[in-house]
Amino acid sequence: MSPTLSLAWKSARNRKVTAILSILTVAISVILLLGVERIRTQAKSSFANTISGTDLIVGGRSGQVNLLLYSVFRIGNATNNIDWKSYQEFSQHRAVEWAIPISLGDSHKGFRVMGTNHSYFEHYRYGQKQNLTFSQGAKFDGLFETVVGADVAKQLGYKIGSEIIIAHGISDVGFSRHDNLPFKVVGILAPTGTPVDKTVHVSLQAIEAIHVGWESGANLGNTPEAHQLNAMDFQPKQITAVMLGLKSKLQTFALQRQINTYTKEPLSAILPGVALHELWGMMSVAEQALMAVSGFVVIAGLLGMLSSLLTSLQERRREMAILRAMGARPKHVFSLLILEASSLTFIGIIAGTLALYLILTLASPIIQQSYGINLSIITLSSYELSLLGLVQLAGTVIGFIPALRAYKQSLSDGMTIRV
Amino acid sequence: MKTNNQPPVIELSQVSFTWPGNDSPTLAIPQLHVNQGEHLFVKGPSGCGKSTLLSLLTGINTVTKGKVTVLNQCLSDLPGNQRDKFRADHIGYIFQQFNLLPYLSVIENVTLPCQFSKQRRSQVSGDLQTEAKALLNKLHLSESLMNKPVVELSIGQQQRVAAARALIGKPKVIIADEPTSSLDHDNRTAFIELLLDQVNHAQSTLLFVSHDPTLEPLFDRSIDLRSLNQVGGEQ
Repeated sequence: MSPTLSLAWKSARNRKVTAILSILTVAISVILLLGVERIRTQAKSSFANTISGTDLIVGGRSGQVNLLLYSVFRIGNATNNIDWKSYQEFSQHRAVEWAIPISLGDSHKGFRVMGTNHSYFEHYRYGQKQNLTFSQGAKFDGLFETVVGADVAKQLGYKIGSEIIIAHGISDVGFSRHDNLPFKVVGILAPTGTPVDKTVHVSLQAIEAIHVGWESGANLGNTPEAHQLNAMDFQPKQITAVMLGLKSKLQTFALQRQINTYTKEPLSAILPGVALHELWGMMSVAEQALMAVSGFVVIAGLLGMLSSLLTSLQERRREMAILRAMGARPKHVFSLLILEASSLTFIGIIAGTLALYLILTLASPIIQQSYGINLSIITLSSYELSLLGLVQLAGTVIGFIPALRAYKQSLSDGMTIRV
Repeated sequence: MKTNNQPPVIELSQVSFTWPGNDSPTLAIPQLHVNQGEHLFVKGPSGCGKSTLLSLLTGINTVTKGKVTVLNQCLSDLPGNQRDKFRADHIGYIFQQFNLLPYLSVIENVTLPCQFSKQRRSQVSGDLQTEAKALLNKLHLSESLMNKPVVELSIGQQQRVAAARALIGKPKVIIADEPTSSLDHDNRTAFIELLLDQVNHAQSTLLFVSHDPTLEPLFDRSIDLRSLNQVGGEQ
């Protein structure tokens, strides 16, 4: 079959423009198909990697997706806080191994500020149960010390020793800044690819301290100075949520039930995995729509190739007749067309895949920055390979249509040149 | 059936051919013999069954009645793909004009039949390219033309490339279907003389179809398809 392949190649090269256009339509549809698939799976894994190792998240009574969104993704706000006493009670529960209290509500230049304690740095895990690590510095110890996430440090150019002002609420405007109480950066976390990178961490006590004089929600002018506050002892009264790690997974449901039916305060306890799943499920409609669109683009691309192959058949009748006279059999003519369709598809797939990697290399820093989705440049997964295989198969099958026509034509035309 | 010491290369007996869907036959030839090494001129204007006759001789179509024997092989006995193989192995074919594949080089055009026939490849001793060049040289095509794209060649030059393609691998039968109709008179004679030389050299049998009676004297024998074909003129 190799003479046929070389004939198919030379013949297609003779019709360069249409061949290149066919390759381009296939390549573009492959870029879209793989691109959507990449974004889908990586967004999903980026999502699932946000939190790991936490058995329960406890917050004020609300839906599990809402609680997950504000406690883990720092999206939206808590509807209710938790009383410090409840935190103490559950953190000392016999089933609980560790507890991370978190307190949200303030911001710094668009990044959320989170009050927490040292157990956050010890027990919080993301990805494949990875601990948080410091790229520089260490945990906060003093009241006005802060540890910032990797993105915060990078985007705002913070180093160890930088001083930052925290704003009340999430809109960072002049009158709402806690500007008499600057914080000093003492630690910068290594990048995690999770919302942690975009978080400014301070101690729970600091959150209480900067709000002295802000009880009504605005600064009424009687905020004490930093040295006075340092001397005071701040016991938080309320926090936003608690992340719990249990001694045994078996106790998860029992404790969840106990928290959900807690009588002193309306609380919700959620399993992060289940909530993540539900959250992703909400987005699956968009996900499926994207997949469907890229599927249709592939079909459109292949149909474009089909139409150009069919159009070319009419003008190739002379070519077929000459080949027949030179001893080519109808099966040669048939395989000539199949080979052309499948090679065009194949080259299109290769070109599309290469172009996708080029685009990913160029665009992934931008996507990472603006959407927080980490598109790592990885080799093709077996699912992606099977998608490409499917495109190749479809391209070859589509080649049967012009091939059959050419076969019939060459049977009826024989060596008569009909133009 | 190969008992006679010099059997005809082409033999038609009581041949009749009707296109599918037609009521009356297009071609009816009671008898035709072409001997080994003969140069036969077949005269006939278009519409007298010329294409039909050629399609029967090359095995593209098979007779409705009667028998077409080429090189002792009854063509209607062979299944379609065997007839294709038979044509590839034994018949060199020259078309009227625009004969060459534009996307192949001159040499590639000439060697094309050897791509489809092992037998014709095996008739070429040594390198295929060298043989193609030698044939082209004998047909007075200079070396410098061989690397040009075929579309830049003149019609006369293209026809000589087509002749080389029909001759490569020394097929037993060469069929030329009005190969000179687009050439001027001087070129016609020159082309035919070159062709006949090479046909003799390859010891092939030539069947030359044309409607131009002035070429007749160049051939051993001439037949008029209009008188041969009993249904001629009805088409």
